[in-house]
Amino acid sequence: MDQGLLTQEELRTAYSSCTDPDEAARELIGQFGAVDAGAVLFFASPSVAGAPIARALVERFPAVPVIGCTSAGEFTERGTATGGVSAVVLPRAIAPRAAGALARLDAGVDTGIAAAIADVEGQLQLSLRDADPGRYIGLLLVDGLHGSEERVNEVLGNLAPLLSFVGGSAGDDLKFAKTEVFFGDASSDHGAVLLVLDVAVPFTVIKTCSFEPTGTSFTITEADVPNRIVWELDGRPAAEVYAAAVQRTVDTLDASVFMAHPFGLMIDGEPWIRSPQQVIEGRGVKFYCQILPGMDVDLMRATDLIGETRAVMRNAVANLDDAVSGAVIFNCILRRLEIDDKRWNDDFVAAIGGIRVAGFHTYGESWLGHINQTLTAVVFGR
Amino acid sequence: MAVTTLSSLSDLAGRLEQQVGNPASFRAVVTRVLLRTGVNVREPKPGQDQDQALIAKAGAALAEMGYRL
Repeated sequence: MDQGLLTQEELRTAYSSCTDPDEAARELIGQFGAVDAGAVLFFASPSVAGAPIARALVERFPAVPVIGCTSAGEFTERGTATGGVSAVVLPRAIAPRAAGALARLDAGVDTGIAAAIADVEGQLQLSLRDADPGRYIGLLLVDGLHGSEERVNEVLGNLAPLLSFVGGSAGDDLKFAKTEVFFGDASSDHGAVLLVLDVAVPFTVIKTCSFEPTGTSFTITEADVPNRIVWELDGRPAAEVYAAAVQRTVDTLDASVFMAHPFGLMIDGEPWIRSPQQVIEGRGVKFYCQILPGMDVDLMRATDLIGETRAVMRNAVANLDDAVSGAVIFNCILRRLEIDDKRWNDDFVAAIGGIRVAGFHTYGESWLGHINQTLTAVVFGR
Repeated sequence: MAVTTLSSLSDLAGRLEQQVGNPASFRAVVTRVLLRTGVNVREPKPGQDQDQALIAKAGAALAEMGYRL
């Protein structure tokens, strides 16, 4: 669609497969068309340098926050791919006021996030603790390799417990070497970017995954929490217990088994997924997020990723009275790998339902905490 | 100064709900507590409601979030 024909209430999405960042930025800006921007987000493969793209977007939209991060695949409502850049303009009609900040986490998560929150509060002249969660929404792009996501989300919860921060962990096309976040002209390979929007339209948050409980549950009895390793389930070596539950031996546990059978921390009947990553020393299991001793978790089995995505998107649109201006979506890399493996790329895009979206495939998802194998999103109404 | 004690997770949940007010916000806060502690203050498992260690753990997480019950 020619985005010049869109109203000022509709999100402007763009995608470029150019690896030259200056050319990619020109393409993105051209696709946005004439728009009165409230905030800009971009998600770039590490094969496209993010800093020049950020600079070009800041030059084009000097009065509003520009945030971004590296990705493990990018998508819009027109397709999903790797090695390019997706981007979205949130029009001023949707977000009349927006404030962003880069939290540098090298000197400690608590200090970095507190400073960023104070910065955002100063820009908005608003205490985020007192911000109306029906009017304000936070977006979070966080480093994907230092394992700081749990603490980042906790500190956000301490400072603004009622405000949703929805987002994802930056990726690097499965190289696991370096992820970056961008705010304006600044970047960090160990940081988090916050964007708080004062939203003028109804909006809804999505968290969805394609798993159901198998009926088998465990209690974590020993764990190395900071390193995300579970050593014991129900008092026995975690790898042995897990392998028996999925009818395998420890030495045959691999990525395909882990992807099909993560753990779910059940809250109000909904799983908050914790995905296994590898066996450690033949007895422990390392996860992509922390699980604490004493937690009860359910062994999950995969359901229909495409059907569940379609259903949750339709439900979000219905909740907004079928009047949607677009969405920003954060989709787990493990979901992308399943989509790739089953050649569901077109089906995934179709499941989004034709609404204007931009997003990226993440190394973890955020909403109220850190989660895995999940899609999180904010859908904006009109 | 009078010190109030929480006798159960249900008691804690009730006081939190009063402080937070909005049901959706209450759900968000108890979800944050569960994700960071494993303690379900809204629907504790049988035998957990009066577990003082769990009450203390949930209370500490809520105190970090600024809710002193």
